[in-house]
Amino acid sequence: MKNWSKKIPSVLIAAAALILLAVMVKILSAPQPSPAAGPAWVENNVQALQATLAISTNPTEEAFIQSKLDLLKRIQATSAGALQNVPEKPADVCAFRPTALPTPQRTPGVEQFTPELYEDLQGKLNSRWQAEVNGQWVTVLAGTLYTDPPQAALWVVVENTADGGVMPAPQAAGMLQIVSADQARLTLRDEAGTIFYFDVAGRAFVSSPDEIIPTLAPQPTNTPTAEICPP
Amino acid sequence: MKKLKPLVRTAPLVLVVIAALLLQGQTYYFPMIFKNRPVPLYSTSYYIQNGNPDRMYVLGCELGTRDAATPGTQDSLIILDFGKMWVLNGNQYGIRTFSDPNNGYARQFLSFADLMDRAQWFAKGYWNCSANDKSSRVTVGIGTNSFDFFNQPKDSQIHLRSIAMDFGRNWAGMVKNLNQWGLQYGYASQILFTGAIDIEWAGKDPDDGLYYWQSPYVVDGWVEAFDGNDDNGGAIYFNYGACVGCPVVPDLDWQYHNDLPWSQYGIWKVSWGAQPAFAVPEIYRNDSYLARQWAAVSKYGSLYLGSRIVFTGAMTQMQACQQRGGTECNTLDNTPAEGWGQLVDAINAETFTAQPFLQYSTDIKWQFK
Repeated sequence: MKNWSKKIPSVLIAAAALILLAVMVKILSAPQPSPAAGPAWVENNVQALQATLAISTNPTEEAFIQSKLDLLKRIQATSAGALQNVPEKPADVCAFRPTALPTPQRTPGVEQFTPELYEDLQGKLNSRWQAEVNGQWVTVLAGTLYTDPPQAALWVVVENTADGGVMPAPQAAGMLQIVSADQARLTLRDEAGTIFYFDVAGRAFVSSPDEIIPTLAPQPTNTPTAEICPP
Repeated sequence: MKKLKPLVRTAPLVLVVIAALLLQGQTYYFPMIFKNRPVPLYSTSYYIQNGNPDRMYVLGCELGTRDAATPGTQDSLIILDFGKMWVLNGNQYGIRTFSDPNNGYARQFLSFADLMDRAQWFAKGYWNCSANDKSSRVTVGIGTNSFDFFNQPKDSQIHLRSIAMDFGRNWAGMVKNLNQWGLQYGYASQILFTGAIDIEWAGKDPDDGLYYWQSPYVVDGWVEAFDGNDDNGGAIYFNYGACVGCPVVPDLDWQYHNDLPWSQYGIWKVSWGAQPAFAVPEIYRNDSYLARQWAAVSKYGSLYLGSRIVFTGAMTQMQACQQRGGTECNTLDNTPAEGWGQLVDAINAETFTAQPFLQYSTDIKWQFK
């Protein structure tokens, strides 16, 4: 009996460990709240607010969250009406794809436009040149790249390839603008009136309109990705 | 024989009873369960570069196809970021899409009527392609941003605010009309439309020294007009912006800059304080700093404004980084699971901001590249 009582602590520890294990299993295997079917698309959002509401201890906050909850519940209630009008789903999902609009006609050459911020290109652009070069469609945009400090720059894009990039012109002052083009040789002007030349085929600034530089080899076109419901 | 002490004698029995109670009674959720909730399946949001109807149908169809092929019921939030707000010819309100690499980086102008049409095509694509899956659902945020100045003179804040109010009012009207359309034709059983706006602030235009992004005064106009035209719950919107330069603790004195005075109060207001506002913030940075910035805004709300933010989800840009790369992606390319987890951890690090359940994870990419 003496030995048994000595073992009590380890029995207790083992039992406690077992209980802890059981609790953990219970917690981890607890089913996640399953989203409601049909129009209750805000159900989970409602749950998120209710769960937070449950742990809030500030009456002002509770009232605030409750007002958001009421908002979502109103949306939920309104949407219930949709169940009366649910259309059948078609067997051929592609039959309903609208006809593609015609591709806009692209005019080769220089186009100048009011300077505009392009958030996706991180710059302000004022002109474009586009044409086919060595069998590939190339677009060049000119303006200012928003680095710190900003830099005059060109954006070169070779359609449907990985070729292209931003070409800063650190020697230029302010915005760069495409003024004219002779084949794939562009004439550019900065805000100070200084003229620059850019060779599209060689992807480089050149010092004169006559300077000859090697033409870069065309890069392979991208592998087309499979599209759902191709036109 | 030595008698056992009563406590020792009854201890095993007590433990068994406790265990039985725990296993048969109510399930208790400890704080750690917040973190252990499974990361939601992320959706793909898009920077729209070509808003033609067939392109929108394809985007909806892709999500519908995924949901139909995924076991169980899916619940996704996606943002269709159509680009900046734009007034064409002085009186036509709409947006300028992001530039299209398949069309010489040209941008499209889409009016509000066009936007409604495009959102409907997205919904039809989702509806048709989710096929026999009639219980999965998607919340579609029709998105814009607070970048640039509507193609308007930018020297008058009052004028810009009045334009922003026109946009906010129209945006709420568009969302209401879309949901009305969804109800009428039954799409609302799987699709909810909301507004969405990427509210940010940064960078000065070297030409005039003005910031590229709208001031809180102007953005407030958008928010208040949206709120005023939501018919008490007919429309909500998500702010999916970044908290640029924000501190990671509540700070009553902090503002981004004197010339662009965003404060934690202003950010809280447009992200949660306004009645139709909900937040799906950008959690891009690998070191979880952005998550801590947003947790601080939430704590600011809890301490000084009466309510923490209950976040709806987290946005990441892993796929956009995979498409375009760039140096910023060295540190701003959280995976959806990382972004979502960082926000969960940051807000649950304190009772002021705790939130047991973060619903959505969405990852944005370019429509093309």
